[in-house]
Amino acid sequence: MVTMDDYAESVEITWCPGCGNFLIIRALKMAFVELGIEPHEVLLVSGIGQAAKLPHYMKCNVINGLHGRTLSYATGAKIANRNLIVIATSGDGDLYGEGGNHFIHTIRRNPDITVIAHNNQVYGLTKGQASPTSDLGFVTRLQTGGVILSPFNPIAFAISANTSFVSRGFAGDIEHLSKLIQTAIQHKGFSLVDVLQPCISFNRVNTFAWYRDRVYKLEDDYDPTDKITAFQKSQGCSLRSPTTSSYGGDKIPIGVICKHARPTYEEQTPALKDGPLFKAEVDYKLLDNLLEEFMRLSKKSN
Amino acid sequence: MTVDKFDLSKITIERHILADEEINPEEYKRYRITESGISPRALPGQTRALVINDSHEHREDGHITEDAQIRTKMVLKRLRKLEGTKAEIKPPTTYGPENAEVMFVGWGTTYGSIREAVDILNGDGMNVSMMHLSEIWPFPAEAVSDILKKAQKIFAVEGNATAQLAHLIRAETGVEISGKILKFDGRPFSPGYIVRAVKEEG
Repeated sequence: MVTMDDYAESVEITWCPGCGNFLIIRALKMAFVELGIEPHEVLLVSGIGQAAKLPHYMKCNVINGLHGRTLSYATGAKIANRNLIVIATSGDGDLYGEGGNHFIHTIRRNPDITVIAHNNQVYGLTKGQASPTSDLGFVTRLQTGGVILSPFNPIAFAISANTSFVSRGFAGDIEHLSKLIQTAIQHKGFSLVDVLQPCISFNRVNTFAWYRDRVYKLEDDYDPTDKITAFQKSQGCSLRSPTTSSYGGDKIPIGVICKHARPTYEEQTPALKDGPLFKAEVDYKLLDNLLEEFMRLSKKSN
Repeated sequence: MTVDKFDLSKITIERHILADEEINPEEYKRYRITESGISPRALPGQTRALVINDSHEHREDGHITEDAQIRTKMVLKRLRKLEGTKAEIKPPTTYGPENAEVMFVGWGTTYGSIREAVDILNGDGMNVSMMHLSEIWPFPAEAVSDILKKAQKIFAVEGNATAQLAHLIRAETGVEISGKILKFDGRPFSPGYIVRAVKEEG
């Protein structure tokens, strides 16, 4: 029986007391316990940021790498060992800012990984600069006149890019979030869980209370396979004009917003069909055939 | 066809990854401090041993730390790896007559052009040789020093504007290379370019 204690690690936690990250890490541990996943079966991957510290606070396999490269490590690890349960924990900066290009192409590649975006709409580690998901007009000590860049809407983007599983959770609803993470882990393919996470130190606008007033759970009869409806959900209430926020409007849905069954990268790569790549033996005969063919073709073209 | 078929029977694969039975999951530490500086490597998901990799300074178990003492130990551990690498670094190769009047010094992809220039100049009645480095760190200072001490006139042949190898050689061996044949127009060296440069120098 796996318990929460199995995931307890003895590292000093340097998040602010009251940070939404404490709730997200609890929801993640609950999801592992609920699914009966053992620590050695898990690889937590992160880049840089407050969210990226999370893997250090859990007892399991960890890669904490460079800023924005979270999804590259996660993809590489999944290819090397497709039996690993790979979870990327990243923030709105690391994932949508520094790692924006990787976000696009990892969605296209569709490895079977789960990506948890701790979305607090601000760069917390570096003390409060605007992030890609900050509201238009959001005032920081750097953006003193307010944000003038159009906010990046991760849900709308992910839907349009055919992401296999697009969902949103709220750090203030830990039970719902934990269930959502379980569903995401069980979904085959790239699964995004964007988590609305209040930053109590540097975002005094989008607070716990602010989110509670706006967040609602998707209705039971909501159909996440309908892309048009999903896109409308991602846009909140303003479909006729550009949105001024990364979540659309004043009603923010949480739950599974959009999903499609798509073949994974691992399934479509013949070299990976026999299990973990690191356990594969070199097939010299195959290599020899390849060389022979190359020599033959080169001679012909000469 | 410019190369022969690779002889696959001569390939040996060095994986440097622990075998499953060599791993004790209770004790395994990814960055264990060792005399050689090399920590035995297991992979995530290989056994029940947890493997923790971090791009920051880390403890032996791989978790992030800002502890000054651990930091110092880890820096020294990484530096010790260079001691082992020194024994494996490829020494410089030389070509041409011993006690040549002129020696070219180069590194990397310039090898072929320099070698051809050596042949052309010796064919023209000059007495020229070359030294080439394909690996430069940890710098094989002793081997380079021994070769350069015997040389008379030395030219650094380099594809950059500041003679970076000559700079490194001076720092590591004390030998100053006064002759420089540099090319930094974004195009590769040709043997003719080197031959003309030497002849212009007289």
